[in-house]
Amino acid sequence: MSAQASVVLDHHLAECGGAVVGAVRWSGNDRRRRVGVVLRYRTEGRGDVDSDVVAAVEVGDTESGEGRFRLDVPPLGPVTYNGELLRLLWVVAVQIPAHRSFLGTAAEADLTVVPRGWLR
Amino acid sequence: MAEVVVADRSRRSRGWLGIVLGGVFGGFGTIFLVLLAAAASAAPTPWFLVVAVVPLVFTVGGAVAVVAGIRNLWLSRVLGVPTLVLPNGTALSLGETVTARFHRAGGSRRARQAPRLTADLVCKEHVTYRQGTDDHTVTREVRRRELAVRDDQLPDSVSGQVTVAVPADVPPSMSLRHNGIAWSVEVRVEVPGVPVDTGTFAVVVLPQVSR
Repeated sequence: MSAQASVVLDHHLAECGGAVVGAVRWSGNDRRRRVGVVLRYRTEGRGDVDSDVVAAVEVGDTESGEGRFRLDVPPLGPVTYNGELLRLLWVVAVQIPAHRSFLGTAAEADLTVVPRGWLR
Repeated sequence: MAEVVVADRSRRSRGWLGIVLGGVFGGFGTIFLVLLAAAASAAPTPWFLVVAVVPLVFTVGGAVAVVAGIRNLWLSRVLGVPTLVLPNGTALSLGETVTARFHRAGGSRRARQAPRLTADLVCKEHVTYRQGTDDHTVTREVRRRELAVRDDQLPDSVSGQVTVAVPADVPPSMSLRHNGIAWSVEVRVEVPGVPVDTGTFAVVVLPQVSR
């Protein structure tokens, strides 16, 4: 059976230089692989894709479990953007096994990253 | 942070680029045309006219590029170098307003008579994509906002104060490998009887709201 996971964010809005906090739950990790949570962005649109994992944390390696995580958003972004030629999207993803690539994504949650000071 | 002086020397760069590239491509085209003409005179055939189209395009295109390059160099000499002095560096926050000094150094006396200054804050998206083995870049202007400009109205001088006001609800600069958002201040100088001169000065809009 393949591992299953879910991720819930405390807030779906985060500022540059701030943090994303949430909870993750997983099961079916029979091979006891490391479970990781990553914060990453990806572009869409007319240009070639830019993507990067900017923060990652491991939350366990048990067959099933749950845990909380905190991931730092870079101070210089980039911010979520929806333009004419390009879009930039952020997600928090649960990776089993923990990996910085897009392989092994068990669950995702969308996130909007805004400039610092935007939420005040 | 100390003030930063940004000079737009792109006209001069474009001038030299036009002369060099035009000279190279036009030169090759001309040499090929001459060799073709020599071969055609030795053994005339109508096919030479068809073959001559390619080097002719290079020759004409090269000549146009050289002329445009020389014009840009001449304009650079006549108009001078547009310069913008930003009080706290080129990094600006969202919602921030700074007063920058614009002046044009050098240039002919005629290009300094009764100048009229206008300025815009411009935002452009740029993306690069690969098609086959070639990289293509597409740029699109997505925002343009007129800025307040106060002419110094000094005799024999092109200078003024530009109020650079960055709106709070615009996208900040972004510089990724294939995708980006670039901001610039464009200052346009109009002098009667002289070509319009637009100086472009890159600025960085940070992803932070001004306090």
